[in-house]
This record gives sequence, structure tokens and C-alpha cells, in this order.
Amino acid sequence: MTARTAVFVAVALGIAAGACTYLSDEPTPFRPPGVTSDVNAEQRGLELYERDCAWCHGSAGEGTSFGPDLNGPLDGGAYTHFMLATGQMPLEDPEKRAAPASPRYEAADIDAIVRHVETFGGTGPGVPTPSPAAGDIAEGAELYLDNCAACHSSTAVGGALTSGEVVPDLDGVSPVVVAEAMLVGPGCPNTSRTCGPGEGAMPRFELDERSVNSILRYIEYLQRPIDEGGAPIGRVGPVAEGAVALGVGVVALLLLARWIGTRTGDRE
Amino acid sequence: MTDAARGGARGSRSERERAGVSLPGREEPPFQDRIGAWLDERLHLSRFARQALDKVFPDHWSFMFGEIALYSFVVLVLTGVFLAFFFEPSLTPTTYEGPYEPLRGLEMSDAYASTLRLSFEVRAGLVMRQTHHWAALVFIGSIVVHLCRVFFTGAFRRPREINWVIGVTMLLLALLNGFTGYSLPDDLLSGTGLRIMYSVILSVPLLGPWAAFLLFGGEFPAEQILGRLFVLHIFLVPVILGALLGAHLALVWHQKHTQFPEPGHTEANVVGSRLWPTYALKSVGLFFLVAAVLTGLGGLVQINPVWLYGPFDPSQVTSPAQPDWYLGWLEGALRLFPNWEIRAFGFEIPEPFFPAVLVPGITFAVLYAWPFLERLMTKDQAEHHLLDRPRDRPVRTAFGAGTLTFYASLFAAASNDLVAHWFELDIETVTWFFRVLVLVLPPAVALLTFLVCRALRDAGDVRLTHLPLSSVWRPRARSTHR
Amino acid sequence: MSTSTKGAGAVAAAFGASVLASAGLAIVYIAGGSPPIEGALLLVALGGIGAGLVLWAKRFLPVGDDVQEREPLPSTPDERARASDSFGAGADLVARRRLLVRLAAAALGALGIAALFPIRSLGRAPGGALFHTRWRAGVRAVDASGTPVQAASITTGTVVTVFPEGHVGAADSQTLLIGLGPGVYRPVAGREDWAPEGVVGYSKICTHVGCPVGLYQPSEHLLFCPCHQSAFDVLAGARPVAGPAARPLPQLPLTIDAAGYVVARGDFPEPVGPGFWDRGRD
Repeated sequence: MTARTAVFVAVALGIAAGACTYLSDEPTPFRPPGVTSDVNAEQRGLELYERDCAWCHGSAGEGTSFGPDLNGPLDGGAYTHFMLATGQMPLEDPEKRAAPASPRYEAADIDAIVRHVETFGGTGPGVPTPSPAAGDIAEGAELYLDNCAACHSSTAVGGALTSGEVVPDLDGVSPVVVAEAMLVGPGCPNTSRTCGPGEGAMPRFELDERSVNSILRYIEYLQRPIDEGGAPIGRVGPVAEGAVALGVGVVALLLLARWIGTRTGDRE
Repeated sequence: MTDAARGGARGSRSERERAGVSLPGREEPPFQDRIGAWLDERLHLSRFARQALDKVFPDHWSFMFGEIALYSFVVLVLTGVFLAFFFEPSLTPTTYEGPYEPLRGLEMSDAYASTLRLSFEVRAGLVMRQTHHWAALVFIGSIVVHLCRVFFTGAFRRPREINWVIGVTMLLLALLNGFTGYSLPDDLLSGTGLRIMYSVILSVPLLGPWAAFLLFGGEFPAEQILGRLFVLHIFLVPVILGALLGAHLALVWHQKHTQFPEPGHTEANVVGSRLWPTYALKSVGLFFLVAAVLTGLGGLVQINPVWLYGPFDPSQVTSPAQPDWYLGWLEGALRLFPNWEIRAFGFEIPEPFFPAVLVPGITFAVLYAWPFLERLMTKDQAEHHLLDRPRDRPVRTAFGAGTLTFYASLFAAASNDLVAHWFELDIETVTWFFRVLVLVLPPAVALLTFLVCRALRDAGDVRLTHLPLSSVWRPRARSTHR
Repeated sequence: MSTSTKGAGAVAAAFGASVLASAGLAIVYIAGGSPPIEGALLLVALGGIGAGLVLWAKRFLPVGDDVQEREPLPSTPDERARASDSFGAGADLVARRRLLVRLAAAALGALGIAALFPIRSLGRAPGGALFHTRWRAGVRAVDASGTPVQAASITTGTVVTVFPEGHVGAADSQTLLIGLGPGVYRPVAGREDWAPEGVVGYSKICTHVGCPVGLYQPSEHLLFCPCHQSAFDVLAGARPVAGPAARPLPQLPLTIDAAGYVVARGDFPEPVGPGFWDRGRD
């Protein structure tokens, strides 16, 4: 009964909020993505934004009680592209945690939304155009170990942080997204309505273009490193190695000892 | 026999001719007799050789755990010698110019550069290196399994206390040599481990700063430490280990092996197979099987890819950062122990002293003392050659199971960051979970073990799966004997 | 057991496989080597010999039927007495020269003590090394490549590892500069002017066991050590808030010079890194 009442109240509030939005210039209410009709090709960015983003961030990126504004000093193309390309946005429910997932839009749609958000008041960097091939891999290794390995691991497998935060692994992450992360410092825990770029779990790194390209080149290498010595067993180091040594090596030898010590024809 | 051998020293010619004549249709005595005679004339070997070849070894499979450790050590020495031909134990900076492109042109130590060379340029070098590392992990693993077998069957009781003490010393040295070897390549992961070891030594009350500075040669990171680790790793510790290994085996030989109680097995005999040929073939076969498993791992499963970790730099760090498994219990203790420090009269006992010095100190003190502690408790002064079944000694078995659970929990806690990452949990929550686990699980396991062992013992020859549940938990009054 | 040839096939197959694998190893080596192939071939080459020997023993050799008597380990009382007498007689002869015994003991003891002195050669005296770093008043902060750091480049949410100029890589002097942005720094009493323009500097060496505290989370303003999971509150003097670390990270007093570079106002006010016995000494 209570659940039913709650649903009823929620639906009623939703309808009321929708009506208000329709009548006034308030942000559009929560509408799950994909439930409305196809969007106009010319105004793709605007319509996708209005459909999927505006109900939390406001029609002009001014923010609502559901989500932060998009007009800060670090907001702009890079941050928007990062959040969309890593599948952290859009959220189906503003109470959900923004977590990396496969992107919800085609690349062209993402670019369209990014172009629309760039018309707002954010003064942050635009989408970078890095070229890892122009970087120096050894220089990248050194910079990566200096700046990235502490959290993302020297083998790029990611790790744990405090407060339940998790450092993502870098497998399959595109160079553009990595460059954006360095520019804006993402990883906002959306427990806070006000947290924006530069206040996430990841610090920002203001590096010159060559350094960024070098780091990206080394990360590309780490995504497909030289596993000269055989099965890489996760590249997490001694924990996996110990599991194999004990679970495979020692166990195999104990079984062999058992075989040696058993008489042919014995019961055991 | 003795007289004949002595006689051989003087009138050897005629003795041998007589032996040869006794074999019909042969001009010359068999090959082994000619070699044997040559040696016997000089060393008086025949009596020993006959006793040795006829020596009986019990056949139980659990008696081979120590052999697995022994043969892992042999593999360690063989591969280690090969590695030592190429490794340069020096922290002198050099610029890498080798074939591994991602690090070419970077500054690194000779130690790290020579490890890269060993891995990428020396043909078969990487298999040797990886086999060496796997062998180290399996070596200590099999020592621990062997220790458990000896403990739970009471094989340490009189007259074998000396061999227990030697064995515990070898475990300690194996841990030490594992750590020094792990630290040699001077990569980012092992360098961090060395940094922690320096800080742990520094934490010892009164002596810490001096001990750390004398061992490392100065404040961390001191240049001298790598050469010293190398000498410890390839010379001092292995030589002591080898000598103790000889003593360990000599005592087993001299005192003869224990055996499980079975029909025909008594305190006054040994039942099994003769050294020659049965036991020799099996044991040499085991050596080759150990070598097969270790080299198989060495080629097929990558271990310690130092080229991915990068050269050590004291201002860099990688995460996750764990030591090799055998130090996992210490790492876990370091992660779990609360941030308590003692500061009084202008002096302080830093936090790491408790988990990283006191915990291993107590661990090894109890290990060394166990045979004597148990004798104090049981008042058992008798000589034992027949082993206990663990179920017949509920108190000892429960203590052992509880202790193992304690160290296993600490060991698991050393992966708290990986647990938090993989299961997306809050790391502080995971740490608190392990803090509780380490204190609660061991007594629970010990109690359960005690109850089950007591029920099994009192039920006679019953398998665990056939034990009625009602017999496990009984009021104290019905437990009549210990 | 029997001497029949039944079961010999498996033994022969094991040895045969080993021969082939060893030949394969030689070929792989000549061809340039490949760790996985080498590993697989070694497994067969060594495992074949091992399995062959064990199978041989299990199938064709007598197992477990031999009995050997144990000789008693303790000697007879008579033997023991004679050993004791042999030692005792000799000891009496030696002990008769009491003065010589004492002098010999003194000589050995003195030699033992003299032999301890070279231990001192192993390393420097700790002295003040643990109490000071290379930071001095007026020294500029430089990054890992030796470039001086502009205060303006440490914007909110950025973090950079710095060293005193001229001592890049000095392990005890590694320091984190963190951009906090305006208005959030809550200084410890007496450190009000140590973080100009929201740039704060802390020793990067964990006070637990000295790992670099490399992980900065701007969202929580926490520094986090990847080794043993200590966390430090950057806003409140790097006070430890979780994990085994018991003391805050020492703070480096900073200022900004006329050219806009970050400059130290002196050394850390306390020893950096893990604790030790006489850390409280001045």
C-alpha cells in the first residue's frame, strides 16, 4: 500500500512538474531517453539535449535541483564529450551513480550535443585533438609513471581509492577521452549536486601538447603490452602470481606426490 | 665384511681376482664393482654403501612435501647461477639503449637495465628468470605445507626437536632470501617494497635508525644496498640454507623417518621401500616432475614483468602494490593494524613496529618453541617414531588450524585494495571487515576443529562425512578423557 | 612384483616424449627462442623423465614391503660414561692451568669485541639526516624535469610533485603541491600564511612506512597512500583520517616570489616520513 501510494505521488508530481515545465521556462522533467520520437537531423544537438539532458542540467545549462550547471570555468566541450563518450551521461535516474559504461549515442550524436553545450556559458577547454603517434613513447613512460601510475597502476589495470571511489582501468579507453580526463579532472561523486569538473576524484594535469601525446602513446602501448613471458594473468602483480604459484604449482606437485606415493592397486 | 674390506686394502689384487672368478663366464668383474673397489680401497665405503642402498623409507605421499621443497631449492640454485652470470647488482645510473622500445633512452640503474637485458636479449634468459621466480614461490609454499604436515602429525616430538628448529630456521632464511631476490631488479614495485623494509627496520625502538643506516649504508635510498642484497641473496643465505639442508637430511637419515600407525608399523621398525632402486627412482622422478612444473610455469605464465612496472624512482609508486605471497601476512598486518603509536619521555615507538616487527617476532618465537611448549603441556617425555593422527590430538590440531586461519586472514587482508576494486566496495569497509575477521575467525575455526576432532577421536575409525552431528557438540561432563 | 613387460609402454612413451621435447628445445633455441614454447617443451622434456621414472618404480619395482629395525638412539650408559670420561680427563688437564685458561678466554673475548668494530664501517651515522631535507628558505620548487613551478599553474584540482631547485630526485625532499582554490584551506594554527593563493605543499612521504602518497582525490580533498591505504585530509593540515598512518604529512611553508614562482620559506617543521625512536629529539 505504501509503495503504491509512493508511486502515485511520484507520478502525480511528475505530471505536475511536466505541466509546469511546459507552461513556464523551467527545465524539462525526467524523461527516459529513447521514449520520444526521432529527432530532427539539423537540430540534433538541441533536441537530444532537450530530451535527455535538460531535465537535470536545465535548458541553458543553468542546472536544476537534479543536477549541476554546465556553465563553470571548466565546463565545455572536453568535459561534456568525456561524460558522454564514457557512457557516464545521460543518467536514467539522477539518484544513480555516474559510472563508466558503453556510450549511449553514436559518435555523431555526441558531437552534436557537445556543440550545443558549447553554446552555454562554460569557459572550459574544448574537445582536444591529440595525436599519440606524434608522442615519444619513452617520454610517455616516464610521465605516466610520474603522474598516472599511482592510481591507474603501472600496468593500467586501475585500482581503489578512498570513500568507495574506484580508479578505472584504461583498457579500451580512447586517446581523446584520456586527454579530456587530464584537462578537466573528472570523477565527480554525484552525491554532491555542486561537484563539477576539477573537483572529481581525478586531479587535473596541465601538460603541454607533446607530453600529452607521449602519455597517450604509452597508454596505447599499455593497452596491448609485450607479454613476452606468457599468460599475463591480469597484470595485477604478486596477488595473481601467488594464486597461480599456490593454486597451480603447489597443488599440482601435491597431486603428483600423492600419485607417486600411492601403490598400484591400492584402494586410495 | 669389514675384515674383507680391510684385507682388500692390503692384498687387493688377489681379493678382486677371487671376486671376478666367482662370476662364471666373465673375465672382468662388473663395472660397478671395479669403480666400487677403487673407491673402497681409498674410502672404506662398502659397509656404508650397503646400508645406504638397503635403507628403508616409508612410502606415504605426505612425506614427499619436504622433497618438493628440496627440489625447488635445486631448481633455484641452477637457474640462479645462470641469472647471476648476467645480472649487475648496482644502482649506478645508466641510459637504457636496449631493444625494449618503451623505455629506450630513459635513465635507470644497472640492475634494472641488466634485468631487461636478461629478459629480452639473453636467449632463454626470460624463461630462466621466470622459472627462478616461480620456484621461489613454490619453494616457500612447499616448506609451509611440509611444516603443516610435521606439525599436525606430531613429527617434531622427541627425538626430532633439533630438526624442527633447523626447519624453522630454513623457513626464516627462505623468506629472507625471497625478499632480497624480489628486491634485486630495482623496479618500481620492488623498490617500494625495499622502502617499506627500510621503514620497518627504522621503527625498532632504540636501535632502529642505526640498524637501518648500517644495513642500507645511509638514508634511503642508499647506493650500497643493492650490492649488499646481492651478496646476501646469492652467497650468504643460500650457503647457510645449503648447510642446514645437509644437516636436516642427515638427521632424517640418522634418526630414520617417522611413519603412520598401521598394522605392522611399530615404534621399533620402519616399513617402506628400499632406497635402491624403488625409492631412488621415485625421488629422482619427483625431482624431474618438480622441475617440469616450475619450468612449465616459467615459460607459460608471466611473472614479475618488470618492464611494465618501470625503473624505481623514490617519488613514484604503482598501485596495487603487494609483496610476493609469502610476505602477504606481514603486508596484511601492516594494512590492518590501527594507527597506534607510543610516545613518551621524548621517544616514540612507531606504529609499524607492532605489525611488522612484533608479529613476525612472536610468530617465529612460538614456532621455535613449539616442541618444548607442547612437552611442557603434555608432560610427554617419550620417544616417538609413530605419528599422531591429527584427530587424536584435538588441542594441537585446533591450535594449528586457528593459527593457520589467523595468517590466512592476514594474507587475504593484504589484497584489501583489490577486493575493494573488484567488488566496488569502500576500502575502509573492507579493511574493517578484515580487522574483525582476523580476530573472530581464528578462534571460531579452532573451536570447531577441536569439537570435530574430539568427536572423531571418540567415535573410533569413522570418516568425517559419516560423523553424526550430535556427537560434535556435547556437554563438558560427557567428555571424560583429553 | 612381476617382471612382465605389461605396462612398459607408458614408461617408454614418457621417455620418448622427453627425447622429442629436448630435440624441440634445441631447435627452438637455435630459431631464436620463445618463452611459451620453451616452457611447454621443458614441461614435456622434464616431466617425461619424471613420469617415466615414477611409472617404472610403480610398475616394476618392489614397493612398501621392506622392514628395517630401528636401532635405539640413546647410547648405553656405559658408552655414555666412557665419552664423558674422555672429555672430563682432557678438561681436567686443561683446567689445571687456570691462569692460561683465563688469559685464553680474555684473548678470544677481546678479539671478538675488536671484530665488532668494522660493523661501524657499514654505513653513515644517522646523525641529523632523518631530521632535515634539502628545502631551505628561498629555494624555488621545481618539477621532475627541473623546471621551476609557477604558482599560477597550480590551479584548482591540480597536483604536481616538486623538489628543491638543484636537488631533483632527492628522495627525502619530494613534496606535493596541490591547488586548493580560494577559500577552502583551513590552516593549522600558526600556518595561516603557508599556502599562498590556495597552493599547499605537503611531504610526499607517507608517515606510516614511507611510500609516496601519490593519489590525490580533489573531490574529497584526500591524499591516499596506495601501499597501506592511509588517507590524509589536505584541507586540515594533512591529518590522517583513515588507515594505519598515525601522524600528519609534514607541511612545507610556501610563498610566491616576485616572478610568480613557488618558493619555500624554510625546511619542513618536523622530520618527514616514517617514525623512529628519537624523532622527538631536536
